[in-house]
Amino acid sequence: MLRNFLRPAVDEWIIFSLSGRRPFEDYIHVIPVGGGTFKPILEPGHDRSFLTASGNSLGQELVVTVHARVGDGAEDHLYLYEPTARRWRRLLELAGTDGGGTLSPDGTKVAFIHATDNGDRFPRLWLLDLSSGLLDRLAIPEEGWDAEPRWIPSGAAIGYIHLRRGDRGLLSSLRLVELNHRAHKELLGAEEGAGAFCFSPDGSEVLVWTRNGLEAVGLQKDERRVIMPAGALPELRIRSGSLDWSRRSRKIAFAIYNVNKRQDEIWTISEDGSNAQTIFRIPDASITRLCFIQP
Amino acid sequence: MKRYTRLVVCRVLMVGLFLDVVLFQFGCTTIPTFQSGIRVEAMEGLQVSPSNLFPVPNMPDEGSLINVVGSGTGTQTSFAGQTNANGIDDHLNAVTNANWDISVDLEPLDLRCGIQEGEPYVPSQGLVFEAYCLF
Repeated sequence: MLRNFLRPAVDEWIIFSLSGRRPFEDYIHVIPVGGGTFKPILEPGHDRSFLTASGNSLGQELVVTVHARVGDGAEDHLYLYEPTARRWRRLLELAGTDGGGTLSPDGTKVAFIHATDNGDRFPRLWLLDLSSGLLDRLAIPEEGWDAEPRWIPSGAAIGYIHLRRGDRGLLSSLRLVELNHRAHKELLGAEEGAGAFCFSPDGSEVLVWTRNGLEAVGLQKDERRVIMPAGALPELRIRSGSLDWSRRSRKIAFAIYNVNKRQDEIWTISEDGSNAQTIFRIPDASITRLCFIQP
Repeated sequence: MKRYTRLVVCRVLMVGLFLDVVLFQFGCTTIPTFQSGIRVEAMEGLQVSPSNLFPVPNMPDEGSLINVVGSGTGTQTSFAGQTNANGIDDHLNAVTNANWDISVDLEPLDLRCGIQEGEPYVPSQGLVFEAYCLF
């Protein structure tokens, strides 16, 4: 069924999470990069809904955070979902709560956020090798918590946000952990206010919302360029995880909450910040995550 | 007279049957597909760039029923919990079609955020209570 409605004319999609205004109203949708009709690919049922989904292709496995009823509450766990076979497989049997997960570019590993039931219960960065089942806690033992892992296109490193509480509010730092020797490198410190981020298609830059706006920051060279200044957009709010840069079309997509219009919107722009287009808008729901995905 | 009575009874029965079918068929569609109840969601903006929002885990939340407006779902008249790794905490058995007093205590961790409190009406379909700390 999925293949039937995903017409071959569309060569790239944006997959996004949409949460409504009541419990369990959490959908996973896709929309063509050029805009058009958006379609649900995972719809909530009576006992479960879907908080996040990511993957490399709609024809291959997706990593999905499933929100399932347990008693009078709910638990969040990561699953691997095969859309063509409609097969579900629980990714982890760890006690605790899973946050978002993201599949490596070669589809062999999953970087994810998990909060164990014992200990301080704060979400930390983990890595799972899908073939061996080897589980590895990547997080550094320290105060605070981790969020939004993203793979560098080569698959050699994972970017993530580390959050901690300062004297006057919430502070973030953007980090990169290299998988060879587990070295954690800080790309942007707390003074930059790093939010949603992603990597450029060639892996040479990280694109990130900072206090300056939407910025591309060189990973090797000490270069930065502002693609969209903070003042160029309407008053907005940006959720973590709602930014991506396409390897195929080279477009950049992001989701915002437009404060003046009181609606969530998906925008696409070119790499230099031109050709801004709003391809999707919705007033009574929140777009909590998005990424490009191939058919 | 007897014939007239039989006709009336027959018509009443037929109308009753028709209404029964209509109410059964279309009444079912009004039953919520989703879970009802109350979801508490905690989000916070960064100190340096307040428009960048992140879900906040481990935030204590509590609620107590103020009054019931009409028939709804659930039996729970109070709740207490904390947000999970995704910044949400569901209370699916909370009484709906009712007014609630809900609070999320962001104060212990950040004095600027204080306690996010509200007295929302929770419809039968349920409600997401957004405790956002924005500057």
